[in-house]
Amino acid sequence: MTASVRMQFEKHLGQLNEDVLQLGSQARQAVARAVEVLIAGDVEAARQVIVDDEAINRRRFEIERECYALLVTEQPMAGDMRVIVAALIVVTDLERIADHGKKIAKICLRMMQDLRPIPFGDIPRLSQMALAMMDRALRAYATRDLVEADAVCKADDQVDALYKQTFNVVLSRMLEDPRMIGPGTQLIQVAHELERVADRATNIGERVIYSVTGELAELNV
Amino acid sequence: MGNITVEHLNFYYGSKQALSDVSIEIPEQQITALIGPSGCGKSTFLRCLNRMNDTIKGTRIEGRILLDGQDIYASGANVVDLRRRVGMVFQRPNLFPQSVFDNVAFGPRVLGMYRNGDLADAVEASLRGADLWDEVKDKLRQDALSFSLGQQQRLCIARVIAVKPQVILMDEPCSALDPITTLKIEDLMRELAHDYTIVIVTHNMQQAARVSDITAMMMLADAPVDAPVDASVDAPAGHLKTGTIIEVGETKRIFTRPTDQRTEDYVTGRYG
Repeated sequence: MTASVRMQFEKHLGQLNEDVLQLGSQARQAVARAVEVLIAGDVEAARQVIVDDEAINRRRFEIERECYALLVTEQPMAGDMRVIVAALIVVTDLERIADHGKKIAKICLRMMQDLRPIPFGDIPRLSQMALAMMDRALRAYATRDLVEADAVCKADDQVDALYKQTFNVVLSRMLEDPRMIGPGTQLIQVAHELERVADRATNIGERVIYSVTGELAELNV
Repeated sequence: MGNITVEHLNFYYGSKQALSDVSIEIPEQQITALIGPSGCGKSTFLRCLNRMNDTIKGTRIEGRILLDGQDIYASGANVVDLRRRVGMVFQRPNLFPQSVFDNVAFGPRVLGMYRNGDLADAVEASLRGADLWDEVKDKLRQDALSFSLGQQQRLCIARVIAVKPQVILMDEPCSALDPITTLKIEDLMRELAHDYTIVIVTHNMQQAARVSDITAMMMLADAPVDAPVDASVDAPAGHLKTGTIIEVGETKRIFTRPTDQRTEDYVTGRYG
């Protein structure tokens, strides 16, 4: 016997969630590798991160199309509608997260032209915190866990604090030594990209909360 | 005008209770949709609102239904006047085998509402109100049954508004119509809601979502323990299920974030 129409829909929703999570792990990977290659100064690997972003962009559109197809064929209501709309918004955030990784890879290429050693300071720690938030956001998405989703949003304050601290440290270095202005500006840019990754992780947390409860709230305040 | 308040309504077909403890405020000049699975009592409830069930032997109600504060089941209530104030449109058009004009003029004639010249004006106004005038103005003497189903359904609506009602009840008015004709009726419903209170029973969730302001979700549920149960009913008490409203709210909310899990299951197609 063929599966019921409703069961088919459940299957498609399951597939959609898997696809979103897979895109999530690709985006996470992009950011993690970008920071790694930045610190290692690996120009080839940085170029690869930039090239790989294309695949992420394509995948995002594929998932978007999947969502549109479900919207028109199933005309979903209530919780089903919320899951699909949340997926649409989450894939946009994930694609942007990957873009932040790509930007860090591009900064890496620019910084490699400067042969002096660069003091990365808290950049690795900032990256760890942002990636940990992403992991949490994706876990919350996978399990529709409201507690986890809320925790992602709360963790953002720590990332913001560390970003400000990094900014101030780099700024004072640039004041002390004008030769640091070039690389310092790049470092602030990297820190900013990572801070944005964390913001987008909270967006994902917000969408998990929406998909479960229907509540729309800005949690990243 | 056309505000309906239903308070703790119980309804019985003989010894079988069909509705239990239904309470709802149906606001004037808005569209209230009743949704829910087949057999949950939507049509029965709708027919309570203009005492159509009175025509079925052995039915009775408990509780109150107020139309603009007046109990429509009060002793001495004028049922003929009630049915003029609360008109009804059915699943399939139920026109008389008469001309377009005579169908629309039927109610006003019976009620002696107009003199002849005024009657023609009233018929035109009703046909315009049902968005049908341009299509039938040269065919007023033609047999009403020779028109398309969609036109016939709008003619039924014209016939209802000819007697100047306050409330229009619609029992699945589009279920026999194609999507384009359905949209026409839906447009008409939105127009009519400026002047009338509309209550619609529909199985089409998208339709309820599109046209209504308020949605009430009905379902068969266990009768409340303190509900009066007729001793002659054979079913064991625990298995007795009667229709009731389980959730009511702004339509947008009901279809995006219902609070009752049963509503969620029904609108997402998981029920049953």
